[in-house]
Amino acid sequence: METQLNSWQPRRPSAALERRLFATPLNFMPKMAWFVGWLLPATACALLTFSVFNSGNEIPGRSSSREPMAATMFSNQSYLVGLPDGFRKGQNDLSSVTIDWTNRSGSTSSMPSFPRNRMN
Amino acid sequence: MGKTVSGELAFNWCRQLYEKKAAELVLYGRALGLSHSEAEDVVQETFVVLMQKPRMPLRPEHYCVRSIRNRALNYRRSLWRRLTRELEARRWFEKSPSEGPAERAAMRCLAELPLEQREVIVLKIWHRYTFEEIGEFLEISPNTASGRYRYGLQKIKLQLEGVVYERDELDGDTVKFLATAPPVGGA
Repeated sequence: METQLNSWQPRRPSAALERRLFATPLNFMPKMAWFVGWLLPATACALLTFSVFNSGNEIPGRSSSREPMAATMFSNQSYLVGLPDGFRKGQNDLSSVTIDWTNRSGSTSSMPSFPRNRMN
Repeated sequence: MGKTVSGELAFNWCRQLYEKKAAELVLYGRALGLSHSEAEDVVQETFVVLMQKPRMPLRPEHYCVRSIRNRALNYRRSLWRRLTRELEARRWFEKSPSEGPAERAAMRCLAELPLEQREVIVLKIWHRYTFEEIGEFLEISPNTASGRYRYGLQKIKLQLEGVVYERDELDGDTVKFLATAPPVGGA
């Protein structure tokens, strides 16, 4: 009699219970923590370093101007104050800027500035 | 939040214990009058607490049984739970291909025994408790535990014999008997 009863297999709990207890999030967390805590910042640092040290490389199809990476990153010109004296001095010196069209006598416009016949 | 080394160890032995004893613990919850899902809830609560323990209890299986008993007796059943309890499957045991109507009737008989008797039977047969351990656990004498066990088992035996006798009586009418039988084994 007891042997017969012993052969009855108690009904297994549902798989959902096992999942709730053991599958999530405990198994998932270490991998996720490793990814977020180490791999992600390291990847970001590596990308930043790579882009800074490769700023001199020219992009095919673009002009050969060698814009410094720092100037590109800090688009606000005030950041350039802190850069060394010789740094792109010419570009920031207004006296060196020549506005050609102001030196020309003629205007490209077909309309005269003042009507000449009606001066008085 | 990562697990500590002790947390990792607790997780591992809890998992092993779960693999080994979860079904029996759910069965014990059912013997205490819970539905299958309620018994699962109680088992879940027990394991959640167990996993937070810094070290393994001396006798983890006994710890679980005690914890399930305490929780089951304090389990407050809402109206919704009572309703769903009536609807969900009432089967206590896995279906077996060799399972006959007599066995199903015996399973149902076990489920319908008084709580005191079925509790002792489940502890004795599926949790391998001795009568001394049952007596200590339930705060009764080993003789009382033994008496409850024998009374319960006798009823199951009578049920089994009754079904077999009924089948013999009906002889060729077995199909009709099966068709009119209520859902047995709690199914």
